[in-house]
Amino acid sequence: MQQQPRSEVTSLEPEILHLLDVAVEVSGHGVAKAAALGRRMGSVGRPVLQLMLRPPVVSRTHQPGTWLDDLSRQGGLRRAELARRLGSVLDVVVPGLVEQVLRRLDATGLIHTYVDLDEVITEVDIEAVVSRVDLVTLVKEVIDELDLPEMVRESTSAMASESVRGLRMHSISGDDAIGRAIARVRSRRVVDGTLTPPDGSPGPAGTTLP
Amino acid sequence: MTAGDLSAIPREARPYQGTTAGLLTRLIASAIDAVTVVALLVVIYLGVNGVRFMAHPVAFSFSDLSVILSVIAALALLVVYLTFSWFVTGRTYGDHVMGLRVVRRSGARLRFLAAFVRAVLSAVFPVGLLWCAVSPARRSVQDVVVGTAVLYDWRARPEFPERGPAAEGPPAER
Repeated sequence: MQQQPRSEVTSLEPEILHLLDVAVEVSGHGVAKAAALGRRMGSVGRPVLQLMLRPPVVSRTHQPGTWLDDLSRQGGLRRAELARRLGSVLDVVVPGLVEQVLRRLDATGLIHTYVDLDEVITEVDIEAVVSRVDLVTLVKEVIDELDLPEMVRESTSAMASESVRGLRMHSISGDDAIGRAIARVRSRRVVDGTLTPPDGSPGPAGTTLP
Repeated sequence: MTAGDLSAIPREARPYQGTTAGLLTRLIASAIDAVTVVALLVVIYLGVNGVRFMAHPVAFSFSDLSVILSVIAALALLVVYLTFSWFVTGRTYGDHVMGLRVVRRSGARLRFLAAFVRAVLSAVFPVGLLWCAVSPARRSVQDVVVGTAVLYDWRARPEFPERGPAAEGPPAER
């Protein structure tokens, strides 16, 4: 039962195509003739139209061509204003509209369904992407976060170097303690009025070179 | 991120780098240098006696140690040791252990004459080191006379500014 309509359609197809071809040919012929006629009319009518728009006996301000130019200019201004207003309206409407549409769509699912991500990724120029990344700075930041020198020290340094490190830090602390003690003595003597430092310096704190 | 963040210097010691060192650290470094010089003297004494033994094994006896001669030899060796250490690397072995570096006030490495004068002053007037305890800028008598400074510098290979007139400017930021 379902094969019969399909066979009818198949039998009708050549006739429809024939009629369609005829229509196309007639239309094409007509359009060509109309174009040719238009060109002839244009070549004949252009001087007439020019004469109507710019009559020689009428002053330029009262010529129809001048009126049409003014109308065209005002129309252009009105069109620009309309485009500006329309743009401002679209700026408000389109984002909200798109947001509402996207909210109702499963964009991720659509991409999974209709986009072959593997093919897209294979066409990506990974080297160009990598070349735009400042790898040196990136690696330095990672090393800084990990404190790699500290890890290397902890994993490779011998007990002797750890002892030296401790000795150095303790001696620095001792230096600071001595400096603070000297500063206390000096400030006490200043308060007692027995000694006034010539430069008013607070004490022997570690200083950098000038 | 600065280059200092990638250095092998521990975080807790980084704020001190480039600042002038205090009395205790410098005393320990000087003590290590003194022990080093004494050890060198002993090695030289043994070497000289070893040569004498090989030359005259039968009549060999250890040479007498004159106190005055020993002191003079120790001071001479100390001056040579300090001079070349400060001139070549800016640090003696004691400075190396304690993480110190001797520089000019401009931050540049010492010239030979300055290193020699400082070595002589350190050898004949070691008490001058104590002045760094009361000096606001932590400068010993030797530092004041020669125009030097002793800095905390834990880097294994310190970077000096170029020698010469250009080095008279401020040192590189540490």
